[in-house]
Amino acid sequence: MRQGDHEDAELWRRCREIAEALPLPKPFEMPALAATLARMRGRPLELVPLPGRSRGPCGILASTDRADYIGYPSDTSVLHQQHILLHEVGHLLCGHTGTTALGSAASEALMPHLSGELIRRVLGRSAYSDRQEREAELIASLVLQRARHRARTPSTGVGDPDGRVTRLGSVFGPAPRLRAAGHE
Amino acid sequence: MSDRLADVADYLACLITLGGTAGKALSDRGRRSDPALRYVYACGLCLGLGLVVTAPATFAAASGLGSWPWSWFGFGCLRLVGDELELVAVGFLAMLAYSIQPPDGVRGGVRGGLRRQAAITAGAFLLSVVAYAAADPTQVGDLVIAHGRGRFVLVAYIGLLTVHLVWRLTVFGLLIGRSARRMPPGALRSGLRLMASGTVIGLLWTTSNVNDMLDVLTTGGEIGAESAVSAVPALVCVVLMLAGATAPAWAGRLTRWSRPLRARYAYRRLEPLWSALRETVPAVELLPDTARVGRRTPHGAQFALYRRIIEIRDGQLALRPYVHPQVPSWVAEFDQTTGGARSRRRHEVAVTVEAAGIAAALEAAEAGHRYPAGPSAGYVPSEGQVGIDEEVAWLVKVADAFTTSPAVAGVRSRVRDELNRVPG
Repeated sequence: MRQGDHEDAELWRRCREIAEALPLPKPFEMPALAATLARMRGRPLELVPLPGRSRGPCGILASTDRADYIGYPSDTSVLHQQHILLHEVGHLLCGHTGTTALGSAASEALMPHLSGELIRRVLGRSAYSDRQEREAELIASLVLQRARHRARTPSTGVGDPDGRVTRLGSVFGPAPRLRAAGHE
Repeated sequence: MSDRLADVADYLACLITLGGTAGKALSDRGRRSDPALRYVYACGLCLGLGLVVTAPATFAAASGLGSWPWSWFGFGCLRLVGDELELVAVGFLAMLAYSIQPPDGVRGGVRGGLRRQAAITAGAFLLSVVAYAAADPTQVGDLVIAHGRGRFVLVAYIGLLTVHLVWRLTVFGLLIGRSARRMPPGALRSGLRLMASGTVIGLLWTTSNVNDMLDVLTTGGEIGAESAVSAVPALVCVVLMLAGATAPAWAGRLTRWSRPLRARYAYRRLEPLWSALRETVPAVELLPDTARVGRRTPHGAQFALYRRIIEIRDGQLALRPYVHPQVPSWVAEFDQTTGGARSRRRHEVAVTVEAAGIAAALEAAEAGHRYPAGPSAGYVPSEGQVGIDEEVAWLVKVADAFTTSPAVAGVRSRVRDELNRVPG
């Protein structure tokens, strides 16, 4: 195996582990995930929509002593917004360091939220040549794939006050053995 | 010819019923003790045997096997055996419908309902056997003939069976239909609807009994075996019932098999748009060969498609400063000139505007010309476009418009002309 392939496989393994360990809210929504992450990390995590005209990187993670801020573009599709947010979440989960310099476009967008706070780290979603960026991007892709396939798994009991859906599923649905094998 | 059709339909229906029931029982490993499932198996077994017994070829084969002490008994009672098997089968069907209702959904509780259904089936069974014996019919070939007062008793026998069949099928259809209405969308609801449709066809199947009654009243005899008119609805009925009962199992498999194929198809349809964006903004590509790399994930084709969508959206974001602010009005102008706006719906116009915005931005990016006034004019969010499937469907339309729409080609050449006139 070439050195590059080995590094690549290692990157995938690490990203898969992180993506699978992340507790996903049901239904999958970014504010709920941010709340879960904030609880887990013991510090606030704020999602900041960036105005449509902003330039520079399309996602920003800025950490201060008090909180983490994730900026995401408001002028793209919901799925793309989720992906960009998850990319920055990927940086958080991996503990990437980044820089301490907030670019002019990013500072303009995030400044109202950061007034007076000392910035410890800044990461922007730009090119993937950097290993940290590739890692965060891969985590975002894997997490959303996981959320998508989990959403397809039929839920039992939810919205089924009289147990009718569960009962019919137990007679006409896949047997428990198949159900376990058929879904992740 | 008609008998042959009836034979084929009957034996096929029997094979499907018995095979499907056995298949369901096999796939139900680990939960077969559920009484509702036992009613499913019992219903399938009785119905399958009833269908084979009443096939014209079975009647023809049995008629040459001699006679028994009573004309209606022994080989001459195929009609009775077939009818009783079908009577018991629909009895189990009604019990199945009750057993899957919520406890407060049945008057007197589920147990009480089941006891009532069992008592009705047992009563109808005994009464019909007594009526058939009292009619004392003779079986000649596939004809069942009653004499004297026996003909009226035979009519009463067929009437009793018909009322019982209609009643139980209606009970089953109504209860299953009611459950389907309260069910969330999915394979389970589709399956229940298929079964409810099966009961409607089953009711059509019973109308042949009316013909039988008229035949007995007018001629004293009726054809004991199934006719083509009743065997074909029987076949359709069992296919619908079985398809419905097993829908969640096969629909899930079908979706699992078809999903990667659909993902590959959408991936290819996005290729021209993605390639154009990647050529201008190479940084959007996570890894050089996403389709190959995607195989590392459990859902490789879908992962590759997902990456393609994100890379297209990244490309759009990167090209925001290059989108000509006049793109939407140019598309509207083009539509007015060609009369296209009248024939296109609002979301189709939005697709064209988005595709034209990308095409215009690619031209401007190639010329290195930015438009400070309208960086996001090219993106028009679609209503309800929140999931991956919706996003794929939308971008596939954008990709198609990008390569084939005359409005997009018009916008592209307009931008090119403008850029040629205005230096960098």
